[in-house]
Amino acid sequence: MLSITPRVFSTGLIGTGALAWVFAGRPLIANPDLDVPLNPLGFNCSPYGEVIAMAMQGPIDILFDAGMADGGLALKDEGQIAPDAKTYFTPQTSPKLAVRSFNAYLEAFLNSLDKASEAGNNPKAASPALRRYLRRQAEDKLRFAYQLDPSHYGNYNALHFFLTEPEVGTRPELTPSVAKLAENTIKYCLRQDEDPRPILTAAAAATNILQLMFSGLHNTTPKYTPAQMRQCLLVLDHCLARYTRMSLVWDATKQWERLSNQRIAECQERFRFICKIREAAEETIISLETSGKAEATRQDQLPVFHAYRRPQISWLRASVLERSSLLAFS
Amino acid sequence: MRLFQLTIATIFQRKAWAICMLAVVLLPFALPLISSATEKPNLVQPARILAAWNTLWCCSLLWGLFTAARQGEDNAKSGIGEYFLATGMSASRQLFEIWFAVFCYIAPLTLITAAICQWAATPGDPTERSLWWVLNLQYASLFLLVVAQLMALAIALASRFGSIVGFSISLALALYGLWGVGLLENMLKVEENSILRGIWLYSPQYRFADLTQRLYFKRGALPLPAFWAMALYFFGILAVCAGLSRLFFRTQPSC
Repeated sequence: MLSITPRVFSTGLIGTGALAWVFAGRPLIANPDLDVPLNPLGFNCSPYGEVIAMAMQGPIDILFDAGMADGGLALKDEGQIAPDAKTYFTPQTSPKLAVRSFNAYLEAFLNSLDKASEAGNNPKAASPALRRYLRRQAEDKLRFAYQLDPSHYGNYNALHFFLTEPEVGTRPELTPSVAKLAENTIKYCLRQDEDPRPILTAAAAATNILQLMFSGLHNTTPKYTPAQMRQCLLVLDHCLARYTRMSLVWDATKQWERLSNQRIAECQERFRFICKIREAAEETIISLETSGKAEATRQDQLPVFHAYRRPQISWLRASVLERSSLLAFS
Repeated sequence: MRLFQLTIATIFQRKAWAICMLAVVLLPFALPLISSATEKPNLVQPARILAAWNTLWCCSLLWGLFTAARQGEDNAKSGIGEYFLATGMSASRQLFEIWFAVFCYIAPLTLITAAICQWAATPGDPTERSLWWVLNLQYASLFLLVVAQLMALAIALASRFGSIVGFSISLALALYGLWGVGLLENMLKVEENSILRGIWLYSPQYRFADLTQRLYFKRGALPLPAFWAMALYFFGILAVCAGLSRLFFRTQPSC
């Protein structure tokens, strides 16, 4: 009797549990309101995600560079070649300076190891397939970094660049998905009301939408009217005005002081850049409104957005060179 | 070498080594079958390289370090350490013999992995093939240098603080050295910080010993001066770890 009771009890427990599991689980799965997006440990869009996204920029740059160059070789900054130990230690070196010199020596030594571990030694050049694969890896990592922190200016713009630049990207040009990416970025960034930096990302996304609209003018039947472009320009103006307001608030509350000079200079530079783009966009829209569509489709009417792409490319290249000592990871 | 023999026999009796051995031998051939290499035959070799070395890293860092920590703890807690001390075997020798016994299980796994890469994932091009065995040998040597020091640390920490502490600290150090320092460096490149820079400088940069990407992308062997510089660097860290391990190592329970 005693041996049967625990079995009955266990079977009953398992049966009841399984029934509850099945019947309660089905409506939970079917309910779209309870659908949770895949976000392991909640890292995406979290403060940790922002830091990881920032740290990911290096590997992305290397993959990008390897994909654009010969696949196996990462670009190296010549200045990072390890100098000789004698450069650091002289007979006159004081003890404090000696510690600093030793640190510099150790850093140079580690950089030289890093350089050696990355430098290719294979005389055979990488195949186009491998280069394409590396660019695809960079693109996937960019998307991952974007998901971690959609408000990051670099993450968003680099992903946009990859999606729209056919010579760099690995997928065909996907205008609707690029526009959706920009819209999602604007929505996400404008929800952040405690930091002016995401607003700059939103402004950059608005300029990207404008760019897509202008690119559409090359088609025989342009998809966007000047009025729609004007509306997008209003979004850009709203972002810039909001950035200025928020920036003043940060001035008053001394929140800028929490940021390093490098970060502040970066924000100022981005703001100036977007303002220039905004002016050029407005000029283009005015010329479209006054001269009509036929005239506007001429290549010389859209000089600014052809010029606009160049800084984006040079920005990514500069970013590659800046962090060129990092190793690709997978 | 009685403690060495005892440790070898104990690990052998526990039979977990057989799982690692099977994994190291079979996974490089089984895992490519569930990868996209089935559709693209030219990806079979890269997939095999990744499977082989990643399996070895997993086995060494999980089973190897855990076994080392367990042996270190057992030696102190079961009274074996005290017994051998009474017979005249010094603590340093005990540490060495336990370490060497665990190492004798990891070294063959490494050699098998290198052999699989050498003969089952060789590039077709003759110029690339000539550099292949050098790179395999370099990778195996650097790998053993890194795992050896971590095992010594795991044994010593476990003998003093228990196997959980010994295993988790050595594993955390390995993960930090392999990937943490890279992430830290990326952050420092974005924004400089003198304290973090100091931590980064004096961290064990085990990432240099991970040459999987180099094999995977067929970048050729490491230049010899760079290889010897890396070997010297890891020998330096090995010496520091050995010294620290000797300080931490105990032959009897700490309380």
